[in-house]
Amino acid sequence: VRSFRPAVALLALLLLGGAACTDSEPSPVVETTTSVTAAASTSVATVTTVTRATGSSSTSTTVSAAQEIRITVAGSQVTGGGRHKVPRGATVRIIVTADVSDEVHLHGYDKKADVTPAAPATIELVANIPGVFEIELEKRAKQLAQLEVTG
Amino acid sequence: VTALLAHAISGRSDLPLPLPLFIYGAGFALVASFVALRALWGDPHLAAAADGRAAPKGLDAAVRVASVVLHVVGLLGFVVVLGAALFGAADSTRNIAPVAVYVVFWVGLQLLSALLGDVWRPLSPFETLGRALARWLPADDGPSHHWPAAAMLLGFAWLELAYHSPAQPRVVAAALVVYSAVLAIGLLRVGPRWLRMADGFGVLFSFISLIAPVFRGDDGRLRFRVPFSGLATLRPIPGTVAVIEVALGATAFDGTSRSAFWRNLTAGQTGWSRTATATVGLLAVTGAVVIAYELACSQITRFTSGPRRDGAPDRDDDATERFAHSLIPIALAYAIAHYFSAFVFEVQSAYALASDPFGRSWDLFGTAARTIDYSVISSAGIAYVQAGAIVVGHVAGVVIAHDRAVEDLPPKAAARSQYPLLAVMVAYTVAGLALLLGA
Repeated sequence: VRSFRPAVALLALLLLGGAACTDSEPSPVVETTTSVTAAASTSVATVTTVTRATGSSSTSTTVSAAQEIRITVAGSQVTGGGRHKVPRGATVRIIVTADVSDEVHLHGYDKKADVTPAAPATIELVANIPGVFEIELEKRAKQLAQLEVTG
Repeated sequence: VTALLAHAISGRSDLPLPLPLFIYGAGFALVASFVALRALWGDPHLAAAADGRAAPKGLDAAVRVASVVLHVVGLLGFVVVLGAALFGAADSTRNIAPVAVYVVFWVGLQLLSALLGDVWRPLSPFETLGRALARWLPADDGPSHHWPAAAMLLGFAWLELAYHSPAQPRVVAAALVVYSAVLAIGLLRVGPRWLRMADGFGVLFSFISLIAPVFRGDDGRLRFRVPFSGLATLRPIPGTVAVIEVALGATAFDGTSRSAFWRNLTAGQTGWSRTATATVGLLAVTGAVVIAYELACSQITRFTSGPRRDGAPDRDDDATERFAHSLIPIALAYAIAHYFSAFVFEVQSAYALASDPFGRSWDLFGTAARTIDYSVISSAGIAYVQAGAIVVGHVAGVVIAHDRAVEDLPPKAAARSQYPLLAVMVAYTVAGLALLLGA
């Protein structure tokens, strides 16, 4: 005759653990950070993350902010790389200036824009899919930066 | 495209694990381990439970039909994927081969094996080939060790995690051709046992399938058993431990390579220089996982010199082999934590690509225009699955190792003997969660 005590006890523990986990609903992160990588501070161009306050017209808790992410590619040097954090629901404008001709691709959102030395690429989106997404030069398979949309 | 494969296809990765979930997860794993070890588990239960009970007779016919279907599906799928890899569009997002190999096959079959048992056995086109040619094949005189399987898995891990453009359809084609050649030539020269020894995927999937609540008994009939109990029936041969360690180490490196530390280290590296760095990283992380486990096992014997249970034989066999099965749920847990979300999202692109596998603008099933719906699971849901998998996997690992220890030691001595292994498992848990925390 097998004793079921261990199984029952473990099950109880698992349920308790599950309940504990449900209590710890991750709090929505409301951040508008300016990510400046170490490389950025020494380079020619600077990174600016402009936050335009969009007045809290309603009483809802959603924070909407229009954010601008500027990335400059000069040779192998990327300025404004790293990870850019935006809250979910924010309007984001990604502006990429490059000394080469390529296609800028924001994965996940699957948005593309052509860039040439003469004309920067601009991608505008409403960040409604949470996760971390790569921004890359498609033809060169070169990762420029990441967009983190907090859930 | 990045070196991280699951991401090479979609370019999306998960948000960092929220801190409270990390604390609960790690704390819970610790407490559960101690409770299970100290108080609740005085006798071995798993080996007895592993025998299970026969499924109702009616199910056997269904299993036979399903088996035939799987043979056909496996063969057809292999032909389509190989064809797409060789001759389809060169763009990895318009060719079904990369997503089929790295997501549907590699991740999907690990999950399926844990749920439904050894489904790769009927699916494998090489097993099918072996059965079709059975009467002309030589009697088995090939190797009886898993070293070829371990080498093959390490090769695949290198391709997926270290090589700089793993999702390139022609690269996938080269890998498939090498894999097929190794298996087919071995099959024809030394017999069907070669597949059980050299098919790294098949060997790993068969280990993971021991977790499943269903299996086929020696008579081929379907049986049910307590989930995880089948692991107690694993009989390691040389190389078995290496297969499990490679699976564990590869996923641990995948976690490492997503960390901010690694991103900074490899920033600006492309092509072969990236591959070189990642190769060193893969070997270093796998090495660390192996050393931690081997070290713990070498310490176990220090604690096991006390009196044994009546009739228990004196153990002089290798502790690394006796406890190897306890690492299998952990390897699966890492795989789920790292690839679950990619699986949920990328399977949708496989669904779309099934209508146009070669990138020729076909629409065979009317699904070609489908895009990935990222809202099928929330980011909080993903985080719970990740933390849950790691915690459940480690608790299962600790319980399974303890169950093995009480087979021939009194409970208290058994619990003492497990401290080194417990330390390693806690270290794995914390490292695993921390990697998700800092992603």
